[in-house]
Amino acid sequence: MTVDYVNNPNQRTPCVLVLDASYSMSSRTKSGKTRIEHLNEGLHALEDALKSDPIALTRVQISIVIVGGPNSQAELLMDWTDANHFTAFDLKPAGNTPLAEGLQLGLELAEEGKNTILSNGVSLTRPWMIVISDGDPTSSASAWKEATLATREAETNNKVEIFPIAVEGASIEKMNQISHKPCAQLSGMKFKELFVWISDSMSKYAQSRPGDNITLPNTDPWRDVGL
Amino acid sequence: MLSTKWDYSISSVVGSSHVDRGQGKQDNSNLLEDDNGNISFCISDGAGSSKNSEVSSKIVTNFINQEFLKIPDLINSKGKGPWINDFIIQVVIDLRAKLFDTFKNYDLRDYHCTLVAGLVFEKTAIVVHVGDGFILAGKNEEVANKNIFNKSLYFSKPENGEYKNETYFITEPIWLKHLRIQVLPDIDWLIAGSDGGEDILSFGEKLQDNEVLKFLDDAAKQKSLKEKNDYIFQVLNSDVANSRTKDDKSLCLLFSENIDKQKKLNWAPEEKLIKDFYPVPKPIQNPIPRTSIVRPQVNTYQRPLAPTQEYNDPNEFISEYGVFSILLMIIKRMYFGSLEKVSFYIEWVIHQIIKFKIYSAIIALLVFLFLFLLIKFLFSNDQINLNDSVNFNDPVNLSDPVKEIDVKDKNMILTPEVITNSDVIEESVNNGASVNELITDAIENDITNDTKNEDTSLDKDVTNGEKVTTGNDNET
Repeated sequence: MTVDYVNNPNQRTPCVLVLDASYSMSSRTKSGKTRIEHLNEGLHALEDALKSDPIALTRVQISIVIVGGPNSQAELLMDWTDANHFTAFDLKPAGNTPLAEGLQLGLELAEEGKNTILSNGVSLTRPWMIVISDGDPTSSASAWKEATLATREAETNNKVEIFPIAVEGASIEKMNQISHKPCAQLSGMKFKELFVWISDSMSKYAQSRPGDNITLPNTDPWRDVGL
Repeated sequence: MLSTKWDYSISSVVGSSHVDRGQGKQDNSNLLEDDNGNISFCISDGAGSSKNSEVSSKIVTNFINQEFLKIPDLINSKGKGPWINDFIIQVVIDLRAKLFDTFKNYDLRDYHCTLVAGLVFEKTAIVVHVGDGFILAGKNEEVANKNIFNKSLYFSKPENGEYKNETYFITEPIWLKHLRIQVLPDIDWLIAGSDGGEDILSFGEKLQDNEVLKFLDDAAKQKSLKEKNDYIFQVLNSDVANSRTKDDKSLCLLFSENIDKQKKLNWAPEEKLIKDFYPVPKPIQNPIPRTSIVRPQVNTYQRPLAPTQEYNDPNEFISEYGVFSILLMIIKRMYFGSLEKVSFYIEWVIHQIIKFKIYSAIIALLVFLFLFLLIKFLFSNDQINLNDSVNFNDPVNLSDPVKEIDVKDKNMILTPEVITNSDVIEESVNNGASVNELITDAIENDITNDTKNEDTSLDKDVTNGEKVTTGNDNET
């Protein structure tokens, strides 16, 4: 069982990770590792960080959508999973970058996750959607326009909080269209730091009280992040 | 003097997260008792994002308590009636006016705070609530040697927004929409708290019957007012409390003195319980169809990865898999490697095209190429006349007119002299040889003759002792 509301009726902070697993992620970096290897290390760091934080462990819920991959499409790779049941796994890069379809799927998942949590009599904070991509989306222009309109509208209507993160080489212009917030740029391949930051931020957000102004953890380890 | 006297205790404690952030206590709680034993209590939770909520929540608790204690006298003179609602609304309006006046500002977003308040007189409570926090009250029934504490329960629930970390404040312009006033008749005990206080008695954001009963039971054992206050302070500061919330926490407890505290406190399961106030979770009736979410058939992420064995000795690896399998592995890896590389470059090119928007340039280039090929095809002037009028397989008739033919880019005049120069040719003609054969022979003869002539001329030059010059004379 990946989600357990009976033994853990704590409030939840759902988070959809929309990850780029297109073939371009297999390009090697200066460190000699491929980008996807860095990303996979990041996922493992996320698991460790979540499991070392007692609040995050009981409150954070994760699902993963990949863009690209063996089927070269946007697909649900990991359904909603409580942080204590989350086990990191490795992604394999292949295919194109249909990011627009990935965003739409992410929005649907966030909405669905929220309804499921509420129908189980558990309260929640606003769902998060973290989008990480390293290239230009290969979605059609119309699909991209539709998807970015939907994400910005969802943000305006408090449906979801979106954090677009551009890996080196990504089109900043396109990534900036996803959210009202400017996209953060990942310097180097600091996926590990990124995912630890995500865990810390979600933990902070998960325990936020009404009227709280959340100050997300400092992004000093990777200064380029302008969150 | 009232017939019912009340024991009371109230306390607020700063949350550990506020200590970490260097913030003060934003929860404020206050309780006033008048000479007649009427009690007014108020808890106000200042919002973390509002920088002056610490101050505003203090003003709120003091003001509300003083104003609410005017109600019993008014009831005595006017009698009970709907005017009490209007009076309470007027108190809040006056409170907001005081805040505007104090902070010299009509925008109170820096002073946001919630309101959990009430007036207790005789056995009745009038409770007023805006935002989160809670008020829980009940009637006691003495049966034989025990107190049934949940004979009737009243609960003013916290009101959150769409999400748990959103609520409503008395300092917001829309406060009236979220103001809840309840009259709780005939009660013997009452607990009120901020959201932090609620967390202490909750599991999964829901107040728990057993936790509340334990809290009441332990509090009832404390005899003096000081002991009761100490007990609440101790509960708020306990490790359990700190593990459940990092927020400020406040609790207020009122006991009717009519309760015989020597008797054991009980919670009758057949009576209404706290959990009955919460909606029963039920699946969504009409879920929105989500066609695009395809659930993966196999949860690969759940499947533990097969342990990979490491081979230190190549021979061990070979004996494990066999040479043929290893060869296949290598071929497979090479094949897929190159295929992936090709697909990567194709993708890269497509990316570049999309990135630089050079669709039009590529189309123009293709059109130009097409036109170029078309023109070249239409105006090409290849002249091959060899087959035009001579049938090379026919026997040669020497009296035919002279033909000019193009053989290997050499224009050669076929004259009867050239052809008949050789006896062999003549013989061949007589034997019925074709033009092809004749031409080949003639050319070969010519070439051998030319070479012979050149060789002899070269010999001549050398033997005459003259300088052999090639190219430009000026060089020598």
